[in-house]
Amino acid sequence: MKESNDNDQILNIDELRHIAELSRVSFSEEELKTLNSQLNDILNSIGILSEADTENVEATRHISGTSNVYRDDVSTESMSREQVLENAPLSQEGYVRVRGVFDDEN
Amino acid sequence: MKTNDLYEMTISEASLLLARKEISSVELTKSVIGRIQQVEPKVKGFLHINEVDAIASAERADKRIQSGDFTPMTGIPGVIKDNMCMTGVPTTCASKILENFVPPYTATAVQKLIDSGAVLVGKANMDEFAMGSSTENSAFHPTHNPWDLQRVPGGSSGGSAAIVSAGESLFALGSDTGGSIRQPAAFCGVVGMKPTYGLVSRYGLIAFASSLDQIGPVGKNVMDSAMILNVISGYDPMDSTSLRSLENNNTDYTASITEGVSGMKIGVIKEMFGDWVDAPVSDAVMKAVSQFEDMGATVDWDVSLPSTKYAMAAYYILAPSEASSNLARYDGVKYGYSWDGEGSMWEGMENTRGIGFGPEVKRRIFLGTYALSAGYYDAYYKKAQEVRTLIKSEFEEAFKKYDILVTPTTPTLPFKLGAKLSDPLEMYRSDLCTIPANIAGIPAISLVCGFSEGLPIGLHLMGGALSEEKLLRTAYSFEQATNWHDRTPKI
Repeated sequence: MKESNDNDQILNIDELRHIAELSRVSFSEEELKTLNSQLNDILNSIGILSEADTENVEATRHISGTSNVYRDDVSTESMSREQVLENAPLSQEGYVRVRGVFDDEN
Repeated sequence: MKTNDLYEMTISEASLLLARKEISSVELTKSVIGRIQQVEPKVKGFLHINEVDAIASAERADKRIQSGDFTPMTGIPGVIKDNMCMTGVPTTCASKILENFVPPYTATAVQKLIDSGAVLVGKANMDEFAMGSSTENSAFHPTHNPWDLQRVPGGSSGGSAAIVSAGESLFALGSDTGGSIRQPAAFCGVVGMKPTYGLVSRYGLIAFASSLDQIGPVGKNVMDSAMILNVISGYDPMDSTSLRSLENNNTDYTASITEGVSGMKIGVIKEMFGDWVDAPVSDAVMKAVSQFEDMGATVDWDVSLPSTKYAMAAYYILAPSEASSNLARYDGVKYGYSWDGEGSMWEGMENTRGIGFGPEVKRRIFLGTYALSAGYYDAYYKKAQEVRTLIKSEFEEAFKKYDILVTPTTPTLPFKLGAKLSDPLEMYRSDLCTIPANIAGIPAISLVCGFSEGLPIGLHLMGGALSEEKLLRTAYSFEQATNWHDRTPKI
């Protein structure tokens, strides 16, 4: 983590544009500008974490210590196709319909 | 009591009269609906009101009571936060992206309420995807604080808390990721509880930050909250984070609630009384702690949990990281809003999410995506998980010495609508006192301990993991010794 002062720019606008693309969220340049200043404020306040001494401290991945929860391999009733498709914005012949995946023209 | 005042009753009062058949659930439910018609235009706590279904389910409840097969919750009107699925009832998370979503299944906690015979009147407003502290991030409309309609009810379960406070329901369910039940409960002068992580099933709760999210009760008083917890808690094989140790566990959280605090050790966390806490708030909380001393508890006024100062920073890495991953499912393909313009698959997905998500949700998705991206993972996410260990260990050590730890629920009184909307960081600070309990996975409760300028102040009590009985007993003792909870807002 970068050491930070209150008004450091940790994330510049180009990096944020890249993050927005990774997030698959469309944006306007104006939106990005506001977000950039807000996110830098937030990241600066998060900088306090670098003061915490975590040498030899294990990461907590699950608070109650459970891991690998298995169930018996028994099949149970699932939702009907109709129920599942009821919420799909587009469906056709019993399937969810999506935009063309391989064709850039679509 | 006049019949038209039935909505003012607590669960325990109504439960008794229902069992004695002195009132019917239909009468009670109609009274609640009347109250909703009267005050809802001002409070705006609901996203969806289920009037016809509610009366039908009240009729079924009355039949159950007639037949003798009923529970203390049978016939009691309640409300569900709109991030819990209920078959056939719109569940939007207060987001445009789920505006038309009607779930094909019901959340376990909601199903347990239905099975108990509770009458579900509607779905409560919230910050979009439970991200916020004022309910102003709802994509549909803000909710108003019943104590002062110009002020926020808190959030993200602001609808749940405002509705209970305004008498529009006898109880509600909320969800709490960083304070989202307790902070609005404090702002609206009701009781809100976040149980131990894993005590209440998250199955059917639309995920925000899965390692922190927990469903809990919002009630008019502590006894009611215990009665709700009795119904919703327990092991659920449908939630892999549900605690297996609770299998066959039928704890009655009301059973030992009257046993008092004599002999208990109560600690005051000094880091949570900094100069960032408003004086009327810290004064009221300190006064409340003295009352525990008067009731026979031993108080240590100077307990230090130094790592709690990192809790908010750790939270704003952990929660957005988990959210960015959880919210990847909203792609406009399987359910929810879908952008229908001309364009490629990627454009479809990006525009769906760009239009469907509000500003706070985008902020957190970007923050989480950044924290999890290559090169930053260790510095942010792993570091936050390590700090989580520090905070958890400090609490575990503290609970070897103390039964209960005390802080204010919120640093300030309820603020004005719009006051913090343009400054996310300032908004985040509303949860400074409540976040540590989520980070540590421990139970915590907020109840009223005073008023300033006619606005309620919340007392925040925390206990060790699975110490709900002790926590409720402590809160109940305070409530019995004071009459703050008897005040109701004039709307």
